[in-house]
Amino acid sequence: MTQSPNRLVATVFGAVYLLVGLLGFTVTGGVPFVGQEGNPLIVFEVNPLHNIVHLLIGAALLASSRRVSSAKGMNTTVGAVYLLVGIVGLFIIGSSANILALNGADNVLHLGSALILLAVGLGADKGTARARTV
Amino acid sequence: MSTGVSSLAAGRPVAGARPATGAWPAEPGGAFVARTWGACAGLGTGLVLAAVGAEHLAHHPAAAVLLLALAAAALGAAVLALRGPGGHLRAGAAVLAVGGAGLALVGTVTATVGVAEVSGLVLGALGGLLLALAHRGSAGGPPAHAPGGRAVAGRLLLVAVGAVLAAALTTAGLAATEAGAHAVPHGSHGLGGSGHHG
Repeated sequence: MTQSPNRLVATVFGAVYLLVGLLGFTVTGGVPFVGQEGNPLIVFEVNPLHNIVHLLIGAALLASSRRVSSAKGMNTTVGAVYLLVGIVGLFIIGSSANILALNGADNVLHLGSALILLAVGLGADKGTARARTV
Repeated sequence: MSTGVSSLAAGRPVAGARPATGAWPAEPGGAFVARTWGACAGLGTGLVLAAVGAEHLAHHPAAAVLLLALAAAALGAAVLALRGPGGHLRAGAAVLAVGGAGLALVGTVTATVGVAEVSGLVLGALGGLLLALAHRGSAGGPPAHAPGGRAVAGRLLLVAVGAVLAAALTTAGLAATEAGAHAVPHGSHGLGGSGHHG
């Protein structure tokens, strides 16, 4: 696994997201499922919906980490979705659909994670002994 | 025979094809860092361009269209750069440099230069410089072998460092836009609606 950046990233990120999702439930007792205010988990504010999202992402990444091709696809997908949500969100800031969060230190981590996922998904494990032929 | 390239008849690799890759493309370490860091900066440039462009939609539509077009170009160049080394890096460097300059130009003309514009300018300039260096660094042809062993994890760590640095600069720029002012605090996201800053 250590020879595949995609499998390594999917495993590590998947485990971390699962852990964050599980630990999140220890601090969100009494917080409404889609509450406007969350409770802090270390530096992250979370609510139950957030915890579930973290668990789903973690499970998807871990499940995909067993093979290079699935890990590569999942890393690219998660990174791309995060980036696209960020871009779309720029144009709905005044609406009730706005979920954009751009101004917290935790978003450095989120955006950094998205960039790492995209970098390995697009740039690593691009093929074994395969070459273009005429 | 070109360096690192096979040349065979039918059924064999086409001249110009890159050698078989392992975990990472076979390129010099310095060029790898410049390319991936430049690509991360390029994604950040695109995001800031899009955020500032969205800001100008209501009052300066021509400027908004320009910035959004540059945003799309920057994001595309960054994605291509992430996919691997090649001649596209030089064009990508130009795109990012133009993107940063476009932010500075629009900000000057509309008298709205602020943290977002400076952040985008820095990202675009750095990204353009890095991609240009990456193109130059890989011009001599790929190494004989793709990195293996500890070098795989080492390069992954370098990618992570570049991603976090680009994310820090980008987040600072995004936070200074109108979208940043209306951003929902992390942890307060809900289904179908969220609170927002005034």
